[in-house]
Amino acid sequence: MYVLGIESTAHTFGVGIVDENLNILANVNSTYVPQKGKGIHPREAAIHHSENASNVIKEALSKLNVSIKDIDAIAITLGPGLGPCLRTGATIARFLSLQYEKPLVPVNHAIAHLEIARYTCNEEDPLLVYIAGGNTIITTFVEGRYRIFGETQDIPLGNAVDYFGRMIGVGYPELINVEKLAMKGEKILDLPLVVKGQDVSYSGLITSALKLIKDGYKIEDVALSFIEYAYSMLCETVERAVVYTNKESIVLTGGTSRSIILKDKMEKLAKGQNVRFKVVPAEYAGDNGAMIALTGMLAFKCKVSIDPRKSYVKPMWRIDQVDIPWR
Amino acid sequence: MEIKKIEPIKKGAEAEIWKGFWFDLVSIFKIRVPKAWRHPLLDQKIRTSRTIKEARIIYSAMENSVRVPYIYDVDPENALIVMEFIEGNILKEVFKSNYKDFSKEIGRIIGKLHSSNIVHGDVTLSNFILSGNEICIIDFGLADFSNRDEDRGIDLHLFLRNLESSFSSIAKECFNYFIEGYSEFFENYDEILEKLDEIRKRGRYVEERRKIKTF
Repeated sequence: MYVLGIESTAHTFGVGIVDENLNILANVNSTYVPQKGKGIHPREAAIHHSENASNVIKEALSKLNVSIKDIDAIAITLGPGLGPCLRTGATIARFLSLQYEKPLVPVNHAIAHLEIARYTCNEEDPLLVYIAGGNTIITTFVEGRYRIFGETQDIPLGNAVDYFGRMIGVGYPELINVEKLAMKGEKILDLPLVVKGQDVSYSGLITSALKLIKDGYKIEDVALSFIEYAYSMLCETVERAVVYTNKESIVLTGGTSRSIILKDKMEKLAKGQNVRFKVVPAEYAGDNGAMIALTGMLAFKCKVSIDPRKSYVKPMWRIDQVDIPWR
Repeated sequence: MEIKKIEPIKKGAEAEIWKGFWFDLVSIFKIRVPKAWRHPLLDQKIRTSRTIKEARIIYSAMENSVRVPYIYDVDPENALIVMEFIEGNILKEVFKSNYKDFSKEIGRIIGKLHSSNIVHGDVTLSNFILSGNEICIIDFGLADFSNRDEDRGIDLHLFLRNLESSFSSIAKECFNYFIEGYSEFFENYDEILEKLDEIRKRGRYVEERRKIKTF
């Protein structure tokens, strides 16, 4: 039994295929790269997806040497994400479902990041920290759903670092380059540390950091301070969540989990709290088709599917709105 | 400073609580421990500033005739506060025995804090101690100086949620008594109740989440 999963929430159009034992047999991804110094333009990204979709799907199928007819279900991410991108992916998935008479399985993109991390890290019930360009969520599974223990009140961590990086012109990929700059910093400057209960907020931090640059402080020191404040806010809420939930492990997932400095901090945090710490493998950190296929297979086995005519995209779909019958 | 730590009482995410002696007084030691994951300079800055702030808030609450632990000593550099050990029971454990009066008294305490521009930030029944006939409020680790209705509303929200999770069958009744006491010391209590209503409908609080429109 095979499930083919389609990812298209933001800059990546990806197709993954998994079998009934959750082996990942294909993971082919094509990523739209924004114009230099710019962020993702939703329409441009959607155009990229529609232009590359058929090749990505064909390449994924060729990895198994099967045709689309051998696939048992099509999994599609309906949200959360950028409307134009979601609609492009959904249109393709609906077409495949109707044309080849395959069940269509709806997948929440954020849940997929959690499930691929749980599966690849071999952790049954961890505290999950999902950090990316679109999300910053601390979550655990309680009574049928993933419950949000803490989240960002405004922009996500990945978005904050990327934006700061673009404003100071470090170039792509911003996360790596801002951290390189930060490692050369020596001073910790005053910035706002915004932790509200279990939630964090990053928008004020960016404004203040950019103001320090304008005021003539050394760019390396500002980068160091920005990174330290941003990550400390997250670590503080994660540590509270570990103590509160009593989980035995922390698993980091999402594109921003590629961060070297944050990984180091989380490792120390886990050691201090005497819990295991794992990070999703790099190839499954960013958006990818495999995670949609994997989550789609979990859902499909529990007989989750959706009528293509009702498969509207949900750009604001929260993880705590999704029932998880496979746990 | 002559101090002697005797036994650990609680290890939170941010601080450790010890019981011990300060000179010959039985005392509580609250220590914000260094975090290896924080940059050393930021770590020192945060621990020092939070220690000073917490001590200031406790002192200010005391000046406004709220029963709080007396502060014996503060060591900002080591992020240590030494305070009175309050003999008694955690209110949560004895709450049922006289919940009407307790709820009303908690309302008075929070009303006094709010009219002194202090918000507690962690109003749960575990953070009150019944000592003799007196109720004492503890743990100002998440407290702040604030006159914003938003922050005051959060205090009420936290207390109501705590009642609902620990004493659901009498939660509503208790909260009404709470408001009775609260309104004695906080004049514009109806504005805070409005805010509370708004907070309870926000997306990030799962149970009372509003329906987010999807299309």
